[in-house]
Amino acid sequence: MPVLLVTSDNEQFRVEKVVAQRSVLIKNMLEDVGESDQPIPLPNVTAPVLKKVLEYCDHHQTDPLPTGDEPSADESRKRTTDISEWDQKFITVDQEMLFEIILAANYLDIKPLLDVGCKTVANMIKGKSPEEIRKLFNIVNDFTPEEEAQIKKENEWAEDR
Amino acid sequence: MSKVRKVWTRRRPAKSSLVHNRGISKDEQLERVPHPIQRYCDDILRLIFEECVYENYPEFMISVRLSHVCRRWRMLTISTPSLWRKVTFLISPSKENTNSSLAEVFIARAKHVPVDIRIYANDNYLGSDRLAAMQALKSPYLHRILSVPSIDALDVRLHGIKKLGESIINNMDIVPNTEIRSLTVYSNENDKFPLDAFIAKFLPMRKLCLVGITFGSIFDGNLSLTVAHLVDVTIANCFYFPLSAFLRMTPAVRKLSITSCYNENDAGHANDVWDLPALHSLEIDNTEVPWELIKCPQLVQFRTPVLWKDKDYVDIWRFLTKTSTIREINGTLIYCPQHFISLANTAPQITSLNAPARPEFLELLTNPHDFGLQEPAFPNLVRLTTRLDERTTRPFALENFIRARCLPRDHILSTMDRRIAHPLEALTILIPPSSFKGRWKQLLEANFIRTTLPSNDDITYDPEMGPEFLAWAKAEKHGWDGFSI
Repeated sequence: MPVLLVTSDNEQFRVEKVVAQRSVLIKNMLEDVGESDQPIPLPNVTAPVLKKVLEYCDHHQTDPLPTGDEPSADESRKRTTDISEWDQKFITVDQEMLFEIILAANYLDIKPLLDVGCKTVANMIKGKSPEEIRKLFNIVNDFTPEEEAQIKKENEWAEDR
Repeated sequence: MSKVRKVWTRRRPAKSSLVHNRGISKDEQLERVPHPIQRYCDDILRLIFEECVYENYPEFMISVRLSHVCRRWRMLTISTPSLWRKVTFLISPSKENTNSSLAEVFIARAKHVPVDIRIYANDNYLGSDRLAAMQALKSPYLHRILSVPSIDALDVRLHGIKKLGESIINNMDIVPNTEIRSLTVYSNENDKFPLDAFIAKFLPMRKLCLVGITFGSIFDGNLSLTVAHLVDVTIANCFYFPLSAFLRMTPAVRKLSITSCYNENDAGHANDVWDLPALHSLEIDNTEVPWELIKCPQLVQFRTPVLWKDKDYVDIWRFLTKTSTIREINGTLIYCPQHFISLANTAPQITSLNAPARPEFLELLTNPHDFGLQEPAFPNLVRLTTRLDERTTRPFALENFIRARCLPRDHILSTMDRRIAHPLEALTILIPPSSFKGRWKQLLEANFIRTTLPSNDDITYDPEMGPEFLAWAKAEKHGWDGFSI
C-alpha cells in the first residue's frame, strides 16, 4: 500500500511503504497509526530534498535495515571508510543540497544516508588547516587571546609529530 | 542519537533579504550568511568529526586541528572522548616541559575510552650531555600517560644508538591492573635489550608485536602468565628470540607472523614440535623453522615466504600438502611459475589467492595443461587479487583468463574446463597509473569498477606495491555476464 508524504512546502509524494519505511521516523509513525490513508506531514523537509532522499530510499529498499542495537560511537564501532559508487554519484550535489540531505537524514532517522552525508563532509575537511576549514564553512575565529595562546602551544606540539 | 527537532531556517530567503540591504555588496552579504554546518546540532557535528578521524593518520593531529577552528568546535571536540583515542608522544629534550603538561591534557580528553598510545623516542641527534639529561629526567609524564584505566594499544618506538630506549623502558612504570590489549615495541638498537622484565609487567594481553629487539635472556615463568592469552603475535627482525620456548607458552595464538628472526642458541630446539592448536593465520619469512614439525589443524590463511627462482623449498610444499585446511594464500612473494605450479599441486583446495601477475601466472590459471598439470589450477578458487605488470603481462592474458574462469558457470561448462568447480566471484586488479592506458585502460574501464586500494596487509605487504597503485574490482557474485572483451 502506498504512503502519502507531505513536505513543508506542501508538496505531496506518494511512495511505496517499503521505500518510506527506510526512514525509522516514518516506520514508527506507520506502526503507531496502523493502516490508514492519512497523509504523513514532514514539516522539516522540503520537496526538493525529500525527492532526493526518496531516490536514496528507493535504491536501497532491499538493504537490511539497521537493527538499532549497534555499538555506540564510543565503542569500537564497525565502520567502513568507503562510499559505494552509486552513493558517491548520489551525493555529488551542491553544498546546500548536501547539508540539507544530512539534516533530513537525521530528522527522518535514515542512518546509512546520514553516514554517507557525514563521510562526504568529513572528506571535505580532511587535510585542511583550521584556517582553511574556517574559510570553507564561513566560520568566524572567535577565540579569546588566552585561548589563542593555548591553541598556539598545542599546535606547535601537535604539528611536530 | 537525538534527532534534530528545530526547523532549519532556509538559506535562500535569508540571502535574498540581505541582498536588498543598501550599502553592502552582494558578495559581502553572502559571506555573512552562516554556512549550514553552523546550524547543525552537536550530534551531527560529532558524527562528522568522528568520520574525519576514523582511520586517518594521524588521527591525533586531525582532532587537534578540529579543536582549533572555533570555540564551539573546540568545546565539542574536547568533550568527545572518541576523538582522542589515539595519542602520539614524541620524546624530545627540547619539548620535555611542554610534553609534561600536554600529556595530561590530551590523555584527560579520552576519559573512559581505551586509548592507543604511541611513544616515539629518537636519540640519534643527542649529544652525550643531552642524553644524560634525558636519562636523568626519567620522563615523569610516561608514568601519567600509562595510568589511564584502559590502554587499547601501546606502541613504543625507540630509535637510536645511545641507550635512551633502555632508559625509557626502565622508567615506564606500568600501573598494576592497567589492561593493555596490544603491545608493540620497535627498536633499532643493537645492544641486548632488557625487555623480558618489561613485558612481564603487563597483565595477560592479547596482541604482542616485537620488532628489532635483541633479547638478553630467555622467557621465564613470570612471562608465561603474561603471554598465555596471546592470540596475535608478530616477531620481526629479532635476535636471540627463543621461538620454540615462546610458542610452548602461547597455546591460544590464532595469528602468527615471524620474519627475520635469528637464534643460533635455539639450534638445540630444531626438532621441537610446534603445536599450535588454535592457529588460523600464519606467516613465516626469512627464518629457520621446522616446517615438517608445525602442527596447526585449524590453519586457514597462509602467507608464503619469499620463494626464489633457483630453490626447491621441498619442506614448504610438504607442509602445504599436509595442512589441507588452508583456504587463503598470499603468494605476493612467489617469483617464478615453477613455484606457482608447486603451489597448485600442493594446495589445490584454496578458495582465495593474492598473487602478482608475474610471467605465466594468468596463463597457468587459464591453460593448466600447457604447464603439465592434469587438473585445473586451483579449481575451487572464487577470489583472486592480482597486481598487473605491463612488462610481463599482456591484456589478452587477462581476457583469456576472464573467459576461462570468470564468466558464468554455464559458459565455462560449454566452452572451457568442466572440472573447474566455480567461476570466480571476485577479481581485483591492481595496476600502476603509468600502465593505465591503451588496451589496459579500455579493458578495465569497460569491465571493472574503480575502487579504493585495499589497505589490508595482504595488499600492502607486496614489496613492489606502492601506495599510488590503482585498484579495479569486479566483485558482484555471478556478475560476470557483461564483459566486453
